[in-house]
Amino acid sequence: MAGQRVFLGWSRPALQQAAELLVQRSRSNRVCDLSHLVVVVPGRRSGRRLLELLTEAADGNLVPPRILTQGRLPEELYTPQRPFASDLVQKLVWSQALQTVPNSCLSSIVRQPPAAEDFQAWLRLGDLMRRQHLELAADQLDFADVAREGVLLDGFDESERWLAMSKVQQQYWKLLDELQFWDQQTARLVAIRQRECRTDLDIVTIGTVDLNRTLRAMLDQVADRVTAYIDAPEDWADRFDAYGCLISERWSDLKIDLASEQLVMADDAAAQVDAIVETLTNLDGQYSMEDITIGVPDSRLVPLVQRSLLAEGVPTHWPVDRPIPSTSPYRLLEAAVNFLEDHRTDSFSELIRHPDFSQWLNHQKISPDWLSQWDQFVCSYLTPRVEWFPDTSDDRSVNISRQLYRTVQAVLVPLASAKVKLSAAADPVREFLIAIYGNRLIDPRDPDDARLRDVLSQVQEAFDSHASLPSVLDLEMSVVDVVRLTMSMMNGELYRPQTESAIQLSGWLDLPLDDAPVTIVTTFNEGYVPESVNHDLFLPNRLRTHLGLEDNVRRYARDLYNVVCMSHSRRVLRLIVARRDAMNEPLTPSRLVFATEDENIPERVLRFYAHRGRKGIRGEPYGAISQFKIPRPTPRENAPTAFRVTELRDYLASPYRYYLRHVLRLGVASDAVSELDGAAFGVLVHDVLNSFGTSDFRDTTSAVEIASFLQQKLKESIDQNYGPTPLAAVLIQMEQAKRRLMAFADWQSEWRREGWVIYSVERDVEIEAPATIANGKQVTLRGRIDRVDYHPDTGRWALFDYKTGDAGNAPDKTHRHQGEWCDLQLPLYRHLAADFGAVGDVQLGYIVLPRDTNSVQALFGEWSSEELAEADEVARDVITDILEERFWKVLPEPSGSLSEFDAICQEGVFGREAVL
Amino acid sequence: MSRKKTGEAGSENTPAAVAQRLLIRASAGTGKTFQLSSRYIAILRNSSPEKILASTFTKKAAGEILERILTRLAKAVLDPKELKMLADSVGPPPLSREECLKLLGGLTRNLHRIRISTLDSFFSQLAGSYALELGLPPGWRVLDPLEIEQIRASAIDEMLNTGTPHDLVQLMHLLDKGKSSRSVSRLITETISNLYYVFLAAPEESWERIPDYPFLAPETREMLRVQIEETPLDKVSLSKARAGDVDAILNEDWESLLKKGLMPKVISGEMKYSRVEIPEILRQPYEELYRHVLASVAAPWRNQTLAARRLLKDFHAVFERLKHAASGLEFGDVTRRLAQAQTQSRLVDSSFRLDASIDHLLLDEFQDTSPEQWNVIRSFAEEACRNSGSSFFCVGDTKQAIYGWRGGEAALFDLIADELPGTADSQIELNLSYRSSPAIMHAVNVAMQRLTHHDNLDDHADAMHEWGQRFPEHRTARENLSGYVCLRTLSERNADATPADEEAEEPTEFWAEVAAYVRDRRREAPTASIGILTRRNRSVGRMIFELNQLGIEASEEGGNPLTDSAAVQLLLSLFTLADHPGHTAAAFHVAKSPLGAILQWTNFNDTASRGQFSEALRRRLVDRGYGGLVHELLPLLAPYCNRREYQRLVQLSDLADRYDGLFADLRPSRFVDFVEQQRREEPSSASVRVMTIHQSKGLEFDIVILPELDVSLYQPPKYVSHSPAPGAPPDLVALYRNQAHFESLGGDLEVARKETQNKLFQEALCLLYVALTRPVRSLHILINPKISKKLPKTFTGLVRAAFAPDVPITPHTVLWEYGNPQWYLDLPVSNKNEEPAASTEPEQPRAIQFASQSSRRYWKRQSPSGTKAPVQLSLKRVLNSGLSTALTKGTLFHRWIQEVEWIDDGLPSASHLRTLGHQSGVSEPVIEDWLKSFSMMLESDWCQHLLSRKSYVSEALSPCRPELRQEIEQNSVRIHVRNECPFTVRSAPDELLNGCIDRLVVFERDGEPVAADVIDFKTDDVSQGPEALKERAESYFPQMAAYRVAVSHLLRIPEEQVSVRLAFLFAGEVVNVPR
Ligand code: SF4
Repeated sequence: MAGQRVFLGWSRPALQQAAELLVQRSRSNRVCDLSHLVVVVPGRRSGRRLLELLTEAADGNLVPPRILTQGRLPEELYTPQRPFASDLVQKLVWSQALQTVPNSCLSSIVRQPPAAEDFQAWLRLGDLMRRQHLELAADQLDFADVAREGVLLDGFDESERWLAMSKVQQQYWKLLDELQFWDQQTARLVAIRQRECRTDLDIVTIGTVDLNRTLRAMLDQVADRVTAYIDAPEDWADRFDAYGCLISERWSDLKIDLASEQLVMADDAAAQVDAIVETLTNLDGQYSMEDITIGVPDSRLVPLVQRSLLAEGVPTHWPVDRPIPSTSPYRLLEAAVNFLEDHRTDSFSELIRHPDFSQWLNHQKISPDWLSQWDQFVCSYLTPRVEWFPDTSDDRSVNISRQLYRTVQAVLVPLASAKVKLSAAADPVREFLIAIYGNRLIDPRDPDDARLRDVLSQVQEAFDSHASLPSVLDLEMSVVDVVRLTMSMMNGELYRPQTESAIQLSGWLDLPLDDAPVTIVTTFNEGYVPESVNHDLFLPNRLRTHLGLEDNVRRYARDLYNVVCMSHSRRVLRLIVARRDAMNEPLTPSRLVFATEDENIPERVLRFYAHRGRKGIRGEPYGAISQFKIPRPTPRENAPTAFRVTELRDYLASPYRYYLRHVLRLGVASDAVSELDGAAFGVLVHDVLNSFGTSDFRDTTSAVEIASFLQQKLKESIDQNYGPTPLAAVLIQMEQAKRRLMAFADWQSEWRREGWVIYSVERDVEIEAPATIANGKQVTLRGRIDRVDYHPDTGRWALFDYKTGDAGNAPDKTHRHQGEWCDLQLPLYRHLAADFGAVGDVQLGYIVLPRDTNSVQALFGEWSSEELAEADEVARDVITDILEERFWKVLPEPSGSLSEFDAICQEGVFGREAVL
Repeated sequence: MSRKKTGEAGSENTPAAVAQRLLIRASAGTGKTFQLSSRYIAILRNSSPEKILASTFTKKAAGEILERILTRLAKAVLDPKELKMLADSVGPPPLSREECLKLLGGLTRNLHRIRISTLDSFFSQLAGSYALELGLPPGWRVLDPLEIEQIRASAIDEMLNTGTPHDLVQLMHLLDKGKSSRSVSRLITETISNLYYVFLAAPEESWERIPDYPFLAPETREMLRVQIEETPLDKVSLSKARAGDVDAILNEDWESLLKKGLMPKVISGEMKYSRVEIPEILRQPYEELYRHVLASVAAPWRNQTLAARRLLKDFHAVFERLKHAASGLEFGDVTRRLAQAQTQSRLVDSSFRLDASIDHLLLDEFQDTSPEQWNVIRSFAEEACRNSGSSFFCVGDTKQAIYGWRGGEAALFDLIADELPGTADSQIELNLSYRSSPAIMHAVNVAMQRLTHHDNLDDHADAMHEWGQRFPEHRTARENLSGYVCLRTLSERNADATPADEEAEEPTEFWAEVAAYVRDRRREAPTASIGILTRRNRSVGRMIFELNQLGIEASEEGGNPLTDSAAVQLLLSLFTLADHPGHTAAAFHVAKSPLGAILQWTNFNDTASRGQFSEALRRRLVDRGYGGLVHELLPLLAPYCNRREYQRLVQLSDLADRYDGLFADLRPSRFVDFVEQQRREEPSSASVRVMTIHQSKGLEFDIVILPELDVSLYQPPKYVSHSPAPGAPPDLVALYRNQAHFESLGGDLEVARKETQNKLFQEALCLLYVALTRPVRSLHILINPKISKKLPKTFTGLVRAAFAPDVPITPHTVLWEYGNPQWYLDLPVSNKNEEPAASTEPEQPRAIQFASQSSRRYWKRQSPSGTKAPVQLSLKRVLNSGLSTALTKGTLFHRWIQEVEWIDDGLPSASHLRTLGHQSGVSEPVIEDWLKSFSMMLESDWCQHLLSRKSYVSEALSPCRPELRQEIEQNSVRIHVRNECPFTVRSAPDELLNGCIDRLVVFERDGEPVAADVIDFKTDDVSQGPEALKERAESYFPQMAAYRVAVSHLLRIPEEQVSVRLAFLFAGEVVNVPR
């Protein structure tokens, strides 16, 4: 080893100094030409910044050096002879390797190996092996090394396991070799072993204090070309090795002198933001936004910081735009394969709601309200899977939904193929994506559009990359499975460049080389700074230390070094130590807080735990009273003249809600149906009962005949409305309905025996309202009477409504509440009945079919004529109020009905504007 | 300070002061955390932190334990008095300041190795380290509770969708006890939520314990009926009752036979009906018929219970499968897996993967430990008790066991003494409070010792008696602290409230009255902390609202539905509309609200407009996430909000962020459902805090107000169960039925019922105990002045029985009081930390300012391919670019051609090119093929022209100006070629242009560049003809123009001296880029 070390000192930001030094190495006088250099930096971000500084130092024109992060350096130092196995290939081969070792071997690794056909589970297991391999190989180790070295460690009892894993590893190498691939990690080790590392470029590392062993061994072979720029002064030299890496042990007891104002204690996430705001305020305008960086080691804090600072008028920039799985095209593919896989109605409903898919649908020849119609269809027919449409042509929702389904099906054809080679899967996916997106024109300057473009090309690339799979690994599977497999590997993130002036937010690891004069670090807490490993499935900390892998000591040293650099090179440094995290769970301070003289520790402990009250919210954006108002009724254009006898109860319950439902005709839409709701269940039973009322069996006294008729009708009705394979819940409900109908059959036969005959069913009646109700106006009453019975012997009439609610309440209970009329349906029936001559002894009642089948029976409203007259008066008043548009009436207490308008009426809101 | 019963010292390696085994029963306020932290510090003197596991039940509590340890050490260093106290509690040898400093230094340097955590998180570490041994899916994680809820719902959904209908029909009928309720999903959901926990714990046989009695044959019954009917009776009352019985027999109404008529009298052996003797001859037929009655009670019950289990089993299978598919587990699953694994091989040898052996165990809140948790931890405990150099400690209070519903099993506390070697003799009880005033302690003692004065809880007589027996007299160390306790009634309200209304919500006036009472207490003692402890979650919000009405800020710790805010409801309507354009109610709500103006949409009546608006919203949600959208709207809605509405919106935005992190679905309705189920608390530093009694555990307040004790002690259980021993799995499980059924079947069932109800009763007592022990100084119990014959079976009943059993109930009366009503006079007059918002004017917030001048640190990047890009880009082209093989071939040709310097100087070797090919993953037959076409390409005229020196002097071919051509010919200008030349140019003060030129030919006169030729290789497919070529070439012109600028900057030559050419390799076309 003979690398050269250059100590940059802390007088100025390291990157700036490095840039100036580098520019001096130009190989041309005319233009700054650094193309003979490879510069290695710890992170993407510092590389980016370095390029700017270099350009600046080179007066604006530069042939730049190659700037790499340390992970990319090795391949510059040797020539790979074969292609490297991609992540997918590695996973596949690892999982094959696992499946080909003897069982005895496998069982020392995993107690219950996955089932042979559980492809995903094997893949995941393969991935687990792969990750151990990556980590060990980075430090020049393989599984056998662990088995061998481990023995020397006290308490190590896992040789058997590592030897078994070593067998798998050998199998992995063998398989990969047969496929003519190289494993990248292994290739590096081979290059080292065969002393193949060479380069004709000069290598400069900047602030890379933590190079792994493999990389250092490679550098050894080209040591005369290596220069390490170290962000520290000369007199710290003995804490760094020849390549500028930290010598961990020489850092563990180092004390740092953080000034007490540099440590800021905060209670929780909100208090951290307060502390940031306070710090910024106290800068008193001495710095520009560009001069400030906020470190955010806990990325969960990012949204809060961004939004709170924006509220203060301070824009911030966080480089991560979003994870790929949350992007629109990704979610489209996901929704599409979800539907193809299970054909469930739910999945279909989700797919068509994808905005890109919706947009595409809008350009197809379907009625523009296809989504509302689809909801309607789902609610009415409850099909669990999209495969059946009822045989009717007069239901608009069915027609449109059928058309919608066919359109969707057609566009999904490419993805529906059951067998395709992985290598050939890109084409169907492309075909589908072109169908959906192909006609879109985008403006790449728009961030949303640019993101769309980037994701689409990344998605496409991911599928295209399978093209190079060797034929052995080129498995055949359904397109759906290929999509799943491919997408499971696309878990990266999209980045966004900074375009406007803003304060930079930065992860912890990017901070050290950052050259902002002001740095505020949040969540300066244990577990974040530094991170640590205290238990592990394979490599617990002691074993790591023993093997020389990255361990807690190394992590500590690195972060301590970072803090030291920052405290020396920043003009303002604030480390915010929080007591609770974004989820309000307790935190402990970073150990670095206590890297001080022992005598200082007690004070810092007490300061951390001292109780602090939260300062009030800055500049409260809200007012003293809530301005959310319930919209007032507005005058209607045409006054109605006709009223359904059933609608008046809505007015009685709540005039305002009556207005919403009957004047504005507002309603709800939903497709969250897991079973028949009360109304649908009622319709089902009503339909069956009505067809009974018009059938030839209407006069029979035989309960058996009635029962068998009802049963058959029920079955027909279900078949017609819910298809051949209805929801299990519907079938159960059919059973429940059947039980009730059977009980009805018994009651009906008894009733018939008493002499009652069915006079009419579902009779629609419309009459001029009697004068007592019309009150001098032109008023029509309408209604449909479920069933009218007549007793020829006595001349009595019975007007019935079927009731299928679980409870089976009597008419009086539903019509009157605490002595007041709250429903007028049955009393008004008697006026309707007069229209067809049902006068005299007229009974008003329900035929109830409740949950308790023993209580299936007729229940009558036993009202006196005075009471009925009072009902008429109520009807008159209600109609008058409606005609005079008295809809804004505050109620003494919530009525609990027409609950679909709860949100509009602020139901449940403390301090609501009014009870309506 | 405490009464140590016995207890031997630990073995030699343990410090003398640390008994190897210690169990502490610590009553409320007696310094449990103090004990635990003392113990921890004592152990720490001879051990390192990773060997000490201290566990408790919440992360918050774990944080508090660590806080206590660290601050006690820190204070001991700084203050000799504190040092002495610490030294006393830690024991010999005497602790010195230096040692404290050393211990503190050691701990703070090893914060990452400290194991003070919840049991759940310790178990997750354990499971994480043994995932492959435990059969956990690789990459597993603990699911967020929100995810669990979703998975649970999907599992139920799946059963309802795809279950075998016939089975389900059968099952429903049984579950519904022969009734036919309409809603299937509710029945299933309820069954699962009520019984899933016991399903997991109880083995299958335990569900089959309801007897399977045979029914009598119809003939037999008929015979018995005749026998009963024909027995001559002389008393009218008897024959009347008998007639009823006969009717019941004919109607097969066994239920009424069980409860009414002669049957109960015969069976009980009383043989008297209304004081009339029942003839002996009736005994036999009745007794025989009773067997049938029993069978008719047992059969449906048994079937229902079995049906429930079958349902749970089906659900379990689906639920497990879905969780497995999500590679996720619940904490409970982790614990169960570990417990199972422990039965096979012990994980105590886990020290290697945990990086240390656990030598010392300190278990806090032991009464809340569940049997499964104990099964995992037991072997650690056994080792700790047995091995020298180890120790075991646990502390808890069975009187505060209020988490039975979460699986906590207080009886385990009594059990460990038997199970762990040597612990039986190492128990300590602490009953000396360091919290409460003597008045409070007196009230606690009275209340807890006089439970038996309640005249209406016969069912629980034994439990009450036992509680009283076990209850230790509480004392306090703060003997001179004045305090006050009262039990008082509030105003009379609606008199016709029936007993059934016991669970009904209290009306608004009630809470207003409580709020006024709180205000009065606050006036008396402005600096005191006040805790208002409710019984129900929903009461917290009510209380807060009423307090706010009186201008009292309160910290809300109960958690209320977010939907109690108009602003939140409005946003939910917005999301609903996004999902359902047909939802006109939501559309109206949005359009007529401030949102309508903000989003500029009011056309709620128009179908097409709703459709567009809803799609635009869905797009925003996909692009920004729920959190993003809410945050965008937040500042716009803020002006319409009051403080509470605004807080609610902030909470909604946090929740939305969290949701975005967990789910990425396309259904806004799901988010709406999710929000509707969420409760959110709003803790603040206000001195008045409102929370449920459950949440108050572990807290203390100067004043405690209990306004909601008028509720039942417990809800009837959903099921009963019986375990052979505490912590053992149940050996009997049955659904709950009415008491008569239990009594008629008797036996183990009845035992189980009593046991179950007693447990619930005990938990209620624990809850009362927790409530009563929260105050430091004063306690106010506010009750309704409702008159009843007997004491109600409520918490109020219990306190009345204890404090004022005989005082008549009237409104606004103090039924009982104790202590000094003016206790607050010794409080400090004002406390400057108190409520800064209320007392001091908030200082004018200073604005954040920035300097305007600075060197920009972040430059805009202009990549040449992005410069002045066409405004409209077709996505078809993006998607069509790079059809896979074309891509590889293109890349490789691009790479190869850059190996050519001057074609006149010779070609790169085929083997070199082949290696490059291999590196890019192209394999043999293909490479051979491509090499061939590559060399053909090089031989082609256009390539020769493009890459040769000669062509630069040819008039026809050279891109150079004539003067330059001449100079080249005369050799006064020399030509250099450079392949792959990167460049970076500052194109504006804060703008970088960077890229890479494929082939750069530079013309130099006397070493000074004078001109340049830029060649860019393109591998596009332009085979469709000249039009396509032209179009494609032109699309590159902006990029090429940028190259020209860059080269002119770089070489410092005028732009006119730079020629730029595009070479389409596969088409063999070279296009000059116009200057
Ligand atoms: S109260 Fe007792 S235990 Fe607590 S510090 Fe004082 S002497 Fe020690």
